[in-house]
Amino acid sequence: MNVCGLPPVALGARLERGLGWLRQRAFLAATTLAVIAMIPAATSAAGAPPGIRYDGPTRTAALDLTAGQGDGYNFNGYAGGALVVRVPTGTTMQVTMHNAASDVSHSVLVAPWSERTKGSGFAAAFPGAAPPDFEMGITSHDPPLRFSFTARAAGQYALVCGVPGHALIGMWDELDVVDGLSAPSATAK
Amino acid sequence: MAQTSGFELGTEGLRLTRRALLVRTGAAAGAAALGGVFAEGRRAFAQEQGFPGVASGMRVISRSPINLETPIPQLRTWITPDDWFFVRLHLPGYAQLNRDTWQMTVDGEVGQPLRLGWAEVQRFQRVELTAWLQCAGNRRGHFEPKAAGGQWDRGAVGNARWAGIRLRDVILSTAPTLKAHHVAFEGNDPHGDAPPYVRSVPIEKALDPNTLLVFEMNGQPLPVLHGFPVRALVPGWVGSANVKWIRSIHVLDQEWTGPYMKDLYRINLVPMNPANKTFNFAQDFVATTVFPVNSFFTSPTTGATLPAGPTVLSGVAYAGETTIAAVEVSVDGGAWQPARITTPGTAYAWYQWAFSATLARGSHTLAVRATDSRGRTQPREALWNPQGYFYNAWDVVTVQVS
Repeated sequence: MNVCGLPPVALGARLERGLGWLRQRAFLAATTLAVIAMIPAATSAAGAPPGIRYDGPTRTAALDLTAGQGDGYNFNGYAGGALVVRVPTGTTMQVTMHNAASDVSHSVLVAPWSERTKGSGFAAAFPGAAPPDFEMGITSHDPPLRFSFTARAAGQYALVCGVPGHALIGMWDELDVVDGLSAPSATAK
Repeated sequence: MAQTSGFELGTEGLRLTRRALLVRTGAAAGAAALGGVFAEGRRAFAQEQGFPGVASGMRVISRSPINLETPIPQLRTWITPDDWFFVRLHLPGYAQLNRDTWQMTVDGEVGQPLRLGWAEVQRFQRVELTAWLQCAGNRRGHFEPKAAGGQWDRGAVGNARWAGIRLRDVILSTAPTLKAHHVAFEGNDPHGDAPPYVRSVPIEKALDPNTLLVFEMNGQPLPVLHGFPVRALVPGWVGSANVKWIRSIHVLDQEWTGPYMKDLYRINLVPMNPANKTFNFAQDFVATTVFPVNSFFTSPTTGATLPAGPTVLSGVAYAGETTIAAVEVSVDGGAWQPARITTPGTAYAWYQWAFSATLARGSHTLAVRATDSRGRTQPREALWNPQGYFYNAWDVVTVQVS
């Protein structure tokens, strides 16, 4: 197991959370994780970007997002492209989104870059790259949104909130699908 | 007012789902939160929030953009104090303008475009109007299934005394052309890369003598979060049309085509299946305009404990561009009985009502509905729409009497 880049305490806690997460989820239960890379990211006023767990052999990445940090319209505190997630082309991405906000619904999907500030009517950039009810969203009272897709084509995409009007005012971040990348990352721009 | 048949406990209309109960209990807890602890562990009321001109104790829907809801107890006066008046912003920032340097332009389908500063605005005839103002999403949290957006309870509405000038006077001074069919208000909200906040209304509403450009709220200059120095007041209409921090007025030959007209604040006119997952708001929905009739309890709040014996139930009632003809209350599914109007309203100002009841010990379910002067009564169930606008079903609260 190759884990790098985090202070020991944070590393242990985050790793434990990550392993617990893995144990709890059936869709990963059958996956033998030869490599788990906890990708750290630079800290910022918005807080740490989300960690990405990555299984190299199966090219599977798990991205956990928390919407609505600090009662704002953001993902993990980042909006307007301030968060950049990069994954190798062909990665199977398993996205989970919790909403920290109790009173405003949010969602997430992967949209074409050119549509990142649309008011409504998003379409997923890849088959399966959106939960079915992304226009409704969830609050903190609801189970998290989950979806899985294969980032099959290199390019620049956007993680957007699909609730009408939210991406419009900046609730979007960047997802880059990159040929030849060895492992995913999530960094603050 | 003739009595009509009441409702049955356990029917669809009185179904209180867990979510609805949470929302409604949250409202009740809001009152308690003013004194300290907020029940249910929901972080919803901020004790220290630092929003300019806003009373501590407003319920925080979101901090960025700033969206703050008035706790129910603060809606028990006919006039809502401006520091307790709900705040609904669309963009993460807000405009902080200097009245002496502020200017407003009027352009588009006009013969004489205008540029007005504060002094020029004061040269138009001053008018005053008491009017309620409501967010389109007020009571959105009562929809079941849930609708998208901020989960407002009942407090995204307030009634204030406004002073300003008639939009009509301004428009007519520009010599509008025959193509003048709509009027768009553009706000000064800082919008960065996002489109500016713009909302339009048809020319008929723009020229209504009660459609104003206001600069005073409850006898004081507009608070900064309510649009200082000048905002639109489109009484009876969807709150989003009441644009703050006016920067420009565009006289148009068609409805504005920006996202705040074509993506947001749009509603279906006929019932639709909530199981639908995606929607074409621009094509299949229409712009929200006039609010339907509505009423709700301001006392008691859901979850309240009352002493046994006589008690007075009270609340507000209002309807877009028309007066209220009747308010009725039903206790525990019994017959609808007339409430009395304690403070009359107008076609634009809300009504206060009261109803005397004697409640025995135990749990009670109270319902209220209003009827406007055009004979339209609040329905048992509101028209579900994906963005959760115009909720106006009977208001139902549950109380304990001990």
